[in-house]
Amino acid sequence: MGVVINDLNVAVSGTPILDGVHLDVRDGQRVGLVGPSGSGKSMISRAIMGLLPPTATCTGSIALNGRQLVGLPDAELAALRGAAVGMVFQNPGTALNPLLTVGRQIALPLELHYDVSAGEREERVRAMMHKVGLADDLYKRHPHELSGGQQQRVGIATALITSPRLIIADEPTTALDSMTQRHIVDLLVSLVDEAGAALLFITHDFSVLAHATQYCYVLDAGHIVEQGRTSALLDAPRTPQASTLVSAARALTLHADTTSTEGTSTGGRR
Amino acid sequence: MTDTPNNGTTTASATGAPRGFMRRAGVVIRTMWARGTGRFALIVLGAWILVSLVSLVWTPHSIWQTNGYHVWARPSADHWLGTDGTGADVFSWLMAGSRTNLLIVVLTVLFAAAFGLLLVAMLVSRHTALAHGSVVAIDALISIPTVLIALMLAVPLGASVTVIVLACGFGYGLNLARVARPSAMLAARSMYVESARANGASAPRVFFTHIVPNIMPVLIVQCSLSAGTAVLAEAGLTYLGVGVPSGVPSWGHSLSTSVRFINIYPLTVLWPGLIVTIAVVALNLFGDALREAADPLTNPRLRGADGRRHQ
Amino acid sequence: MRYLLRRLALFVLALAVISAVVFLALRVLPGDIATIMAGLNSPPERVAALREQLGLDRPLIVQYGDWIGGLLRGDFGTTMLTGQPVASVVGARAQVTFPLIILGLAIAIAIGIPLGCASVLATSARARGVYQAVAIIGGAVPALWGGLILILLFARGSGLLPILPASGFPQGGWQEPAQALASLVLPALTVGIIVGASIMRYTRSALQSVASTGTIDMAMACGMARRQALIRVGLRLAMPQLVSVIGLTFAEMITGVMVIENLFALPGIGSGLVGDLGHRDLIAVQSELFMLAVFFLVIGLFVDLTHRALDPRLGEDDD
Repeated sequence: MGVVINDLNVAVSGTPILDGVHLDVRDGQRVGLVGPSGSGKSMISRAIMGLLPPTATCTGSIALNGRQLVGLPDAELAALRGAAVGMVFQNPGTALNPLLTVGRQIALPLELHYDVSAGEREERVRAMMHKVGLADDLYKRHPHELSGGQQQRVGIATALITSPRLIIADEPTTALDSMTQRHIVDLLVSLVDEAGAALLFITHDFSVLAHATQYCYVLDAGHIVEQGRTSALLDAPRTPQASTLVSAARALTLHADTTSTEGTSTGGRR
Repeated sequence: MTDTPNNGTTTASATGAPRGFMRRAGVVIRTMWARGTGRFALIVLGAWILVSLVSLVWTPHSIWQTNGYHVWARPSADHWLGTDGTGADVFSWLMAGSRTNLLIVVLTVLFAAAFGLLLVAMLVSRHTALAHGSVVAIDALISIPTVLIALMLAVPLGASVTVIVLACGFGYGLNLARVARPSAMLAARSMYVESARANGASAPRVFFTHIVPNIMPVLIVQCSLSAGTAVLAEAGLTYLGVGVPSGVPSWGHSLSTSVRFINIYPLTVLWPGLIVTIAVVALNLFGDALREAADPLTNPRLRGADGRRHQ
Repeated sequence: MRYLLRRLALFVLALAVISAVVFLALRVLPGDIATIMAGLNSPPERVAALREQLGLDRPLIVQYGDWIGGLLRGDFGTTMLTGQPVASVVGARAQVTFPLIILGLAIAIAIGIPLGCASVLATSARARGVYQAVAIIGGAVPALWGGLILILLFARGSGLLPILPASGFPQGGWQEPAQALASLVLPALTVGIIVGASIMRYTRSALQSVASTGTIDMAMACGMARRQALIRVGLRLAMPQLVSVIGLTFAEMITGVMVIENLFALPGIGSGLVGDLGHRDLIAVQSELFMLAVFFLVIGLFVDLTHRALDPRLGEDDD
């Protein structure tokens, strides 16, 4: 089960973005997708979610739990989004609906997919807020009153509220400062593992992948150029594209990683 | 080869600016031509200018040639679009009208651009009172429709091209200043303007070398929108009796004179309206195409080879 | 609260500026107001008499103060032709113009917003092209010509499908509601189609700018279909922007309304103003111009305040 992508091609307004991509995320697995900006990483997540722009054309195969997604009408994809797959966005500040309170935002997937009473919904939302570390009194606040880290916690809670089997995190930490980045990654990893869900973690930054994923793919200019266990890839990248990304990550982690991460960890497997 | 004397490179850069401009203009026009909508706009505007020039020396019939026995004639080999209520040739009037409309569009856009830039200069002025005063004045005056300004001006000036140009130029200039204000303010507060001022550059110099180039895209779009609106305003104001005076050929004039006989000769009203609509569509498409073609962000050919799409 | 006070202060200041502009435009520009009102060829004695009668021989500042004092008391002067108070004349005309504007705007919104949404939702390149063409051509039609085409299609007497009256407002006004409303349908449709094309363009660009922020994507990721997300989330988020541009469209709509009132022979504010100008009734024109300007300033104020109320991110006290 999980998601299996075979020979995926995506073009936007005739410009090819993805070219013959193969990618597997098995149940319970945490997989990284890394590549420089502009390599087409986000298009993979958008293709799985059915969020490609209307001008895009998509061929190939995306099988989610054995079900073919390519060519599925939007209404059927919508039934899967937020129920079978949850997504965490890069910029919670702009992605969260500014008109919804935190409570209503997190409740949205529940409201759209399940017929639960308002009382039960509130109970589940408050429990989820507790899990992601959001104080109870934020329930009635609007996103613009929250810090960047709190906003991303709302994003994670929204993605997880329906307990989907697959979580896609598209650069979830890029818009955050480095301390908050670490907290958010640890939170995501622990919650995904606790739920036994699969995670596709998209980033341009290898240093984040090191403890968030077990396996990873390297994407460059629309092609998967390398794949393997994350630790092996970090130690000995085989392609020049991967080594560029790894050395960039080393330059960063030299400062961040030496200040021991064990204390702040909330239980991610390493 | 690396020891090439300095004067070689300096002459290249000295002539580089105008040549670069011509090259960029060429790229921009070719890019516009490559798109269906841009090509349509270029063809229509080219035809408009050509017809205006030709009408100065030749029209199929003189527009003053009337014939009381040959009024409201149907289109024929002699009168391509028929004749009007005085027996004058409709096609010739429309040809002659195109030059009046061209003149109105050009003058309105020039006036609007000049007035708008003056307002922008006031907005970014370092005299706080002047800057604040102009913000208030623009916000207050912008809600006044151009037609009211035209009616006001028509009191002393009577129906004339001047009324259209002044009223529309005034209104569109206010619009331009309001739309251009954010980018102008951004440029005015930037480091390079600071340093230019520190180096003793005069206020007009800073304005024309640093601020105007920054608001160019907005200026292009606003000017093309203004041009289209000016054509529509000419038709409306002339019909209301405060635009082009009777006896001067214009599309609005042709449209208004045929209105009274709409029930009897519906066909004559078709042509001027169609021409106005096509001209306005062309002007709007021209602005869109020009903005896209002239913006290095959307036109990779202006940035050289590197045009790879960002995800 | 501070914003509200500042906006109101701006409103009052704008009133002052505009009253001065209207007043001066009719006096400082070349051409003597009494000569124009009396007619260009009237004998000098008549001009002098008229000048004295209207108090035009007094200093400008006294005349201005007199006029403003009158306006504040609700005295807008009297028309030269009939001697009726300007206020009551304009009031009668407003009973035609306001319903026309409201009906026209309602039609424009009913056309423009759904079409704007549809043009963003369109998936095929051909459909997108058709929507674009509708928006651009609709906005390029001169009001006069659009009205004529509708007359040729639907007007009683001459149209291909003669179902509606093309001219005149019933003598009894709104005492005859059915005829009054029927006489406004074609004019309002003309205004509505043309303004609807602009609203369609604005809706389209506002929705696209909202969609670029990722909020629509997030709503879809939660389980909404694309159409549902654009309409339920996108349209609501675009509303502040839309209210602003529709407010600005309003000011430009008045040119079309004046033309349409003349074309359909409706006794409204626009055709009345053009008529008074033709009779050279400048005192009435001055007050009417000012009243119209005030109307548009009020719309501007309303639009700004609504914009603010619709967007929770614009707090009470910040900019």
